[in-house]
Amino acid sequence: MNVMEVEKGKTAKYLREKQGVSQSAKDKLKEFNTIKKAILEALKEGDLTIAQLTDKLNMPKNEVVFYLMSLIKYGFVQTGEVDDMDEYFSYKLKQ
Amino acid sequence: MKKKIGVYICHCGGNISDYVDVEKVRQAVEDEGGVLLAKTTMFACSDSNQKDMVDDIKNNDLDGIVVASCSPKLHLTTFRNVSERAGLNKYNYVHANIREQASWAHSDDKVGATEKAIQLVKAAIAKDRFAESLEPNVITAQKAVAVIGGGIAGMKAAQALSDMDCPVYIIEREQFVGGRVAQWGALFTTEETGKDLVARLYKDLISRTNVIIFTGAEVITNVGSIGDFKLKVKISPKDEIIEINVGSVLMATGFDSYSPKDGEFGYHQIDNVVTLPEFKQMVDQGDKQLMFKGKQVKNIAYIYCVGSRQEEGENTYCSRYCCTSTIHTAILARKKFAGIYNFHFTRGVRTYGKQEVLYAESSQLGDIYLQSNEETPPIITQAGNKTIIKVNDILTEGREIEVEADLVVLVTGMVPREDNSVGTLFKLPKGRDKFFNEIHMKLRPVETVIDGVTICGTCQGPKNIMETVNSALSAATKSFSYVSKGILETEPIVALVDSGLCEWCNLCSEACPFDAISMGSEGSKSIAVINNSVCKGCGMCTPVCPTDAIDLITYSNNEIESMIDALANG
Amino acid sequence: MSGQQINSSFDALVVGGGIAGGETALNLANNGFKVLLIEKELSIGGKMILLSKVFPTLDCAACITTPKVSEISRHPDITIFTSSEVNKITKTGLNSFEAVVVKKPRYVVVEDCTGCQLCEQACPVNVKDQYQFDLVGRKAAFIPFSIASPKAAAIDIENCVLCGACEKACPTNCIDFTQETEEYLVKIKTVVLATGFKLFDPLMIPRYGFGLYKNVITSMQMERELAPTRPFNTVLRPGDGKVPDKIAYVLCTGSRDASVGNPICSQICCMYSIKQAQLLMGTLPMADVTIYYINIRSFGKGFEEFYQQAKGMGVNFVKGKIGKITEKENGNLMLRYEDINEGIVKEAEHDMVILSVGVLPNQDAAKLFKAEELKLDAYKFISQADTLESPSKTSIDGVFVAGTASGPMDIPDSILSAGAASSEAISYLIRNK
Repeated sequence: MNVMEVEKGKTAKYLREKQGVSQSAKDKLKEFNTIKKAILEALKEGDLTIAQLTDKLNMPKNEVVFYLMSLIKYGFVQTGEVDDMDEYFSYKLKQ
Repeated sequence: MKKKIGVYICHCGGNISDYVDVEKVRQAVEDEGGVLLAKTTMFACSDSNQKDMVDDIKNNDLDGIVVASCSPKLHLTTFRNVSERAGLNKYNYVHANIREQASWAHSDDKVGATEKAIQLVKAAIAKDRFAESLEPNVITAQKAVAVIGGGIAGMKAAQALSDMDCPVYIIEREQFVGGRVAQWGALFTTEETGKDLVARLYKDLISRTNVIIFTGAEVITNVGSIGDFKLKVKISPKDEIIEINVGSVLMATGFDSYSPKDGEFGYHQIDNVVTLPEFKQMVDQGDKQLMFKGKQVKNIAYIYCVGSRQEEGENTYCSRYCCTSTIHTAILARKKFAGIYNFHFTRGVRTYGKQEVLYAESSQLGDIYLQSNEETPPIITQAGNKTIIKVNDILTEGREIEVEADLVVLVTGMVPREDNSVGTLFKLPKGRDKFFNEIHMKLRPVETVIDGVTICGTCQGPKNIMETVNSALSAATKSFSYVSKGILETEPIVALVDSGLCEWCNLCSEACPFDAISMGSEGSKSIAVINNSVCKGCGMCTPVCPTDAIDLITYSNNEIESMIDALANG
Repeated sequence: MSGQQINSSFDALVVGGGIAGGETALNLANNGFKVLLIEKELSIGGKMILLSKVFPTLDCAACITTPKVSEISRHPDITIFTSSEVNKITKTGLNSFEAVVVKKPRYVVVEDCTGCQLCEQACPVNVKDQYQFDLVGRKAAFIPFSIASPKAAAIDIENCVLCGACEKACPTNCIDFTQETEEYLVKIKTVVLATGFKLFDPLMIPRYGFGLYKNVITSMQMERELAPTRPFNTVLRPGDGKVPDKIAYVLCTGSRDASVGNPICSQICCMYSIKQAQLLMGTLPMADVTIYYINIRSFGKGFEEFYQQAKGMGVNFVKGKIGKITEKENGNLMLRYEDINEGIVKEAEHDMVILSVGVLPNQDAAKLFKAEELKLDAYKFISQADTLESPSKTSIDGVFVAGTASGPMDIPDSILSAGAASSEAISYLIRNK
């Protein structure tokens, strides 16, 4: 199929058939999906701080921060209250 | 009166919304008389919001817009252009400043700031109801520029203007061009001396037929405004007066060197204390040995920041060029003369950017650097025929260090010209540091609030030669843009006389700072006549009129009164 | 590769769409010349558009940049190519050059994109967001940032899994994976290089722990944390999400340092660090901010007053270069330095450290010219052939330089340098008509 014949709205399929998707891109997506699921599951049971979330998942704390902040950006999680010392926020699922 | 006004309230990325509840403001004004729609936006000036505004105006057939955001100094032109692009005459747009005047001024009182913002927006809406389409005043612009100052800034600006086919007059007060640079020998970053650099520029300028240089010349009167400045220039020694007519004036009047007070670090009291410019001349003129008053100079002590970064004095600013200039000259002295030892009494060395390598080179050559605070400057004393400088040096944990110096160089900074009468003649405003002030350092770095007058070089603030040339070329481009088309549009926001009410009493004419009002006649009646090209819309004439015959377009009594009503009723 | 030729002749080619390139393009276009502006990134605006506030006036950077960017993008005499690079420039005569411009595919038809972000919402991928300097993630189908120009989506093809979700979600059908790299041959009469600078990468100083210790970040990352379009809800340390209250700035990271190959001063870091310190005092009123310095270079108009203002606000200034940083178990950092005033080696504990990284040359510029030699100076910035008399002239006649491509400078100096470059380019165009 050459470029001129590709139907509008089906161009992703065209490129996928032409050059495929790199393994690293696929792996990264799989990894993200796993982490996203784990975080959202953990938050189902109630609001958590970064420290509490890290305890539940098997990940370095700074990575928990990165993924959590990304999920906030995408609208899955929202920031809750800060603790008494004004140091750590807790996070909850976005309703 | 308008019926379809669009109101846009900006968050300014938090600058406003951090203190003013912009949604509350929106709700408070959306039902005001004449308002068709009211919106909030994150950045009113952003491309996407500007597009939305254009669409709103076109789709809703809006007949007026109010933008509540930052100071009009920043974006008046931006939103006027939005209006024009949407086909709405730009004078139907009214601005409300709820950043500088509400959010920033009252950051300690969010409730108060929000209420004030509401009132400011309502007042702007009240004013916009009266707004009418206006056409700008078109005047001819003289395609010529007067460059005041023939130093390096003035000369480079003249070159650029001449290249763009614009006739230039250089008006230089001294008998020679070249300013300060002409008096300097060696310069950093080049093999050329200041004298040679100036000679090269001068040779090029005199070969150009559209550049006329007046030396020994001073501007004594200035009449007119942008597009049409009539300057009278007095030329010494015969004191002849010539008149030139230009469309723009480029101010490049340069700086003075700080002159220490008698006794300041021993100046004029201890005989081997000199200033940096004096030292530079000594180094340029010296040969094999550096001599001062018959004695060979070996130990040189440099005292930095004299007349700059003053705690107590007026000059709180840093003079920018002196650390580099001093260290460059100190290295030169070491390389040129035998037996030189340099001792730098600094307050922190500021050889910024690529100039840093001079500091490293000087240290490697063996120069000694000492540092003190503003509170504990070096102390200079005379013991017999010896000059001693003593300081508690920060770099050696406050150790007291004494140097016996054959020569003491006071590193004097740049100060504004003592005789700045030409600036006053053009009504140029000055900044906190007393140098001429640009409108906005980033958005409008070479323009002043006086239309048609640009500034460049050290009269705007301390800078080195490269920075001066950059600013001069930028100012030349700006000045040229005023005159290049041969015509200019000026604001139609001028005074308006009701000939029926006017009784010609001359009070308005006397009140006008711009000589824009004169006596004219309508039939057999004498009335006041406004010169629209000169009138700056300052409004000084309006309150003095005993019969209320004079009003200011877009600031009429009706408009102001309705704004006051809006503010008072909250 | 199409090698097609579009409206391929312009008066001026401006390489780089940051603040200097943009200003140059505007000046040229306002004087009636046709300009082609080439920008490597997805948006024009350079580094300035990503800043929070600017010194010494604390104007919001977005507020000053967006209208300029808007004016440039709307100007009828300026043609802008984003996601594009200049591959080769050859001088073909007295005032004529030929340039090969390579435009990488964005996979989005920009004219049809409304910036609605539906594609971004639909995309399942998450990767590091380079415009937030890796502090947070972004999708593979994304708008670079909210004030980008053009405000249009782009596909990060390397991380895209070609699932087609974005295409399905797009209401104007403007996503097009059939786009390919395009090559253009353009004829121009003058060239202005405004290729900007690179920030020093602190990985080159392992003893500062950047990359290893997560609470040591760069000044650009802090700039994003302070900006209105920040990655987190407030200033947080990336190691564990804590709100910091004892923050340290390490000045001269990668500058005035021959050991990492950069002996010169970067000119802007003292001031931007003082600026960030002031903003932090406002955002985190309980926080302590300490700046560790060698010399404070506050030399410009209003700078010294800005420095004194920071002191008055309670920012601590400690004279002493940081030798080494180590991490404690709780993520806090120990900074080891010689306190010059007291003359002893000390250690100070902070919970967050910002490395004030310096300005390095963008050496890509040198590769643009194959036949002629574009000389670089001793520090690898574009050499100014006549520094004092004509600061924008390069070693090639008809090629000029604007902004930080020639050396470190702040925003006002970049703008004036661009004013000079456009003035000289105009003179050159008129002289050689």
